Amino acid sequence: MAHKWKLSRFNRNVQIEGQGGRILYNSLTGAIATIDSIEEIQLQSLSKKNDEKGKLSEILSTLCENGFIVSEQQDELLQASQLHKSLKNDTSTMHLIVMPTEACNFRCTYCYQSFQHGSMSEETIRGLKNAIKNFAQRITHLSISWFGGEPLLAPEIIADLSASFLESCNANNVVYGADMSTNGYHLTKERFQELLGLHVRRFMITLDGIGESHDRRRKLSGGQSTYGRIIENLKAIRDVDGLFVIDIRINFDEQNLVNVPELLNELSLLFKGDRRFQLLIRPVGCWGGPQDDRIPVCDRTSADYHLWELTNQGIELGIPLSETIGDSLLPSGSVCYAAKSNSMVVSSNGNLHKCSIALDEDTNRVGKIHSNGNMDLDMEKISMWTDSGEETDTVCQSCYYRPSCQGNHCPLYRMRTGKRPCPHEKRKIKQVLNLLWREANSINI
Amino acid sequence: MKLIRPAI
Repeated sequence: MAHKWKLSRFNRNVQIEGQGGRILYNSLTGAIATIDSIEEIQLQSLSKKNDEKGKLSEILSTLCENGFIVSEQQDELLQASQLHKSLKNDTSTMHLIVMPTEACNFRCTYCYQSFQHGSMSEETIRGLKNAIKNFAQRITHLSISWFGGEPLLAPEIIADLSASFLESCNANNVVYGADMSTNGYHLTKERFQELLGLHVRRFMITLDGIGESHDRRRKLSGGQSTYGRIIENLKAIRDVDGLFVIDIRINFDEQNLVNVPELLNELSLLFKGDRRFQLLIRPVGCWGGPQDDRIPVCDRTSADYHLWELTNQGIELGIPLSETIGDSLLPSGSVCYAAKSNSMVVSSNGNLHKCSIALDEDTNRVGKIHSNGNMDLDMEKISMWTDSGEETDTVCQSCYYRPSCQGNHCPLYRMRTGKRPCPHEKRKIKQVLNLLWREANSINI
Repeated sequence: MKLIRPAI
């Protein structure tokens, strides 16, 4: 039977910068490939002819296997819809963002938090242990993100909870993994090794410049500097023999934009060749905190430009690109945790939230955890976070990036502004695909 | 044609 093929509606096809050839990306399969100009002619002529499947050339077969071309009968919109439903109905996994304390030793100039609550209460600690003990009997994966505040102001709570989580997971063959967002000030080599033992394998640590250009933005609550100590900690961690990833995050706005290149040079000197240290650059935003009217944020056009321009500078200096960038292009890879039904933020007083930013907003107070492990949940509020994506937006439904973000990259942004929350990666997909291509080449060389 | 990342 003759087959007629079509190009997938979820393809993106961009020029390789500075040379011939194209980069193909498909958001339903996550595949990325390069083709030369002859192969592109084959690809573009595809829709003009019928082909026996058995007679597809080797290249067209590979394109087919990776989702770049699909049978003309294939209902791709239905496939995208099914992907979205499967994510919404996933009950086999759980992701908790846990705040062992909401206190912080830093007072960063652009922070959105109010530091209202200190360390996690005994009642909440008991509740979390009991909740995981119960959940572990019916899930296959548990993922914990240690967050705060500054989580390393409460290392004993992290150790206590981790031991209990690991015990529950081991007893039920549940795959356990953890990551941590920390300012790095208390992440000594000894503390780091202890955390590796507790299965914390991914860390995000922020540096905003070298020395004073970092310190004026990310200082201690008493105003003292922090850069020197964080760098000393990172150097000590570099000497640890182990499997882990450190995302070095750089937050930029108009104030420190000029200081980022010298920081990239420094990071290259310190970590070039060690693929465990990776680069993640993000623009600062007005995230709803008390300092919003004093933050010199870049406008969207400027932020989009500098984000990938600076990231490219880092890659050219030999600093590996954060894996989170490539992962965000996978199917469901750009869906925010706040939009996932199996994800929850647990604050230190036992309140449950969907979003880790708007902690004080009523729509984001979605429940409470009790000491016996039971969770009171407001399903109506939760659905505001999980059901406000592609199902409400016809533009998202027809977008090539739909399988990746499902209209749910940031439900908070959509709620607050009424605008579509397109991810940074989608807005500059040409630059991002070229970055991933260059990164892949640098690994293979 | 060169695959940078195959379909999952």
